Amino acid sequence: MAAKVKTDHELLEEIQALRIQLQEAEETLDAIRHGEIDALVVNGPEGEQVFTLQGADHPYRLMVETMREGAVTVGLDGTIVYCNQSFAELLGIALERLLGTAISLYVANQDAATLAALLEDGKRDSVKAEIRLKSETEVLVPVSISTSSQQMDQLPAVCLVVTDLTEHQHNEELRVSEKLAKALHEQSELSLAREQEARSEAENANRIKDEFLATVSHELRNPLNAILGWSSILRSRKTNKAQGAHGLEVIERNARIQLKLIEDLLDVSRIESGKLAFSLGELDVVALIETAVEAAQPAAAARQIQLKWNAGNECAIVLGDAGRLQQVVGNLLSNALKFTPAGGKVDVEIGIQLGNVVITVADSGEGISAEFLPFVFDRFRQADASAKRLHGGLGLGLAVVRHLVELHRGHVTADSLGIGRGARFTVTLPLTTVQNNKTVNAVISNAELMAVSTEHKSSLLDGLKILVLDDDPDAREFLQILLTNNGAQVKAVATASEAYSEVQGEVPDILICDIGLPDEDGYEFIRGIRSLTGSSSANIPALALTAFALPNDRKKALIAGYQDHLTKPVESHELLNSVASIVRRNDPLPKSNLT
Amino acid sequence: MKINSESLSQFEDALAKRSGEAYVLRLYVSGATPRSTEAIAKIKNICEEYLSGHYDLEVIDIYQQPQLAVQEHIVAAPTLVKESPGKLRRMIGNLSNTRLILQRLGVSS
Repeated sequence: MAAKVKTDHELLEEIQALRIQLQEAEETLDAIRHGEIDALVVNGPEGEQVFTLQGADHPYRLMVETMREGAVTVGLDGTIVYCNQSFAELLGIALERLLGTAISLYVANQDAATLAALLEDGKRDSVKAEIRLKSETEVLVPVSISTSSQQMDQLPAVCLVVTDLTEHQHNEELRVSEKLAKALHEQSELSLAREQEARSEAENANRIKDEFLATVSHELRNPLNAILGWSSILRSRKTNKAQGAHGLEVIERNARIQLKLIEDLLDVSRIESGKLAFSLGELDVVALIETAVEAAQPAAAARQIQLKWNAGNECAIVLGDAGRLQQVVGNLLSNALKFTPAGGKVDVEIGIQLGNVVITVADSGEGISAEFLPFVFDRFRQADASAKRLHGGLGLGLAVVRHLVELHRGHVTADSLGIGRGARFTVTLPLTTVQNNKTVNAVISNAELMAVSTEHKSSLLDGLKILVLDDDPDAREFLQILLTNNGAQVKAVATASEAYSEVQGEVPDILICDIGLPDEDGYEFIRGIRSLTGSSSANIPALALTAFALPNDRKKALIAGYQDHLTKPVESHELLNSVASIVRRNDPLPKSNLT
Repeated sequence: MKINSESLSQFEDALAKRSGEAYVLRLYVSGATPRSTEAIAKIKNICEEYLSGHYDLEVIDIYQQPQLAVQEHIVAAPTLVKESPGKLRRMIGNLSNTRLILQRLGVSS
């Protein structure tokens, strides 16, 4: 057996190769020690692997770790192999808790299918989708995800770059709110302009009121001048009979002018405070106009104006207040006469249109300028408020007309072809459909109680005997006046004991009681009355009138024995209606005329 | 008889020059790290300056082709491999020393 003996040359070669290998190995170690190496390649049991040495991939790492986008590597089975801090922050979940978990856990349920498709397609192509991630607090975060495929341990994996769209949406929102802010700004500028407009309107209204006051003062003083002047002349008794008669006529005419002015003023004030009293009834408009025209004829004749009334064949019945509607026609007529020169004419007509009665008052007078036409019904407005104006009056007549017509659910319009071409006023009132509504009582305010009751001899409670029990003298007085004026015989007392003695005498038809009383309250009092067994007084109907206004108070009053319960302050008509209905209910043959 | 490695490479170098054989070089880098880009630029410069016209330089990213690195017994990046002429030589790590590189490549400066 002869061993193969290497030649010197062969040995030298081998040594040389080994030296080089050794040198390379030493160089590699040196390079590693000196940090000159970026990465090492290892062929281990899992195949080739590249190990990046610390610091070598710093720029990449930095990029991936610091970028605002989330970066995620998802393995074949859908688990998160790697993710950066941004992704963890996006979900609000600590990074170490994310690694190794399924990415599907962090996606909105509705987007699960989209994600699955994204991961599947992402193994082959670079794809992109918008989905919503689900944060730890279940907040949905809209994101855009783009994928890139990669090999990881020779298995496909998908890299995801996740862009938060919240900010994008936030920017969108910012844009919207900027728009909104701009709109608001414009709005506020607009309202500022409106406010300025309103202010100038208010200033204008103030100016008009000032003008009006000056006019009132002037208009009231003028007739006074004539009245006082002629009064002193008559007192001097240096006048003959004819002069005396003329003087008295002047005084009377001026007094009437003043009366009319004052009535207009009072009407305006009542209209403004919503306390205009009127009672509704069925009215024949034709007869009403006829009366008004007849009343205006003397004035027309005096001014040499031809006042014509064309009644036609119409029969128009409206629901309204006769006095007020006559006032409407009267005001329109006096307005027409005032602005029509001698030799002119005024025509009054009536017609029926679509369930309405239409009254027109047309004149051949001065007419109305187009500028003034819209304001013709405004109170205190006069086309010419200057001191040298031709026409007297307060400029209230037409304002009163409009209010009265509107109170009758009608409307009034004015038109004119212009200055010098006459004017026409048209009043439209709804024809009545109610047939058996003889007296409808409108709201009567306390302040006007007396005026109303003297004007309209109301007999709502005709002959009714009423006993009022109230410790407050003002309340007693009010009730006494209201009820008396409506036809009742009223006795008013302040205490329960007085009331007891009253009912022992003449039994009243109804009791009206206050509840808060000094000696015995209204509940005890009515229980006392109801317990008067065997006496006719036990069944007197009673009305509780009290400032106790809780629902329970009403119940208490009814249980105690009252038929009705009203709370103070009470509207007059409410009280009257209650009294009337209690009495009617209680009495098969009512004494009131409400049937 | 002592064989000097330096003289050997000089011989190989001379042989290459004589035969006009091209230098086949492979530069293994790891992605686009600063060191990698620096190494690529450096080697390209050297090649252009000293081996202009008769060199073939291939840059291999070990991230992209780790199997190639393993086949060529490359363990670290950056590594410059001179496949030919002459015997295969590897230069590992710092490639900033031009003189040393030229010496290893067998190019007389």
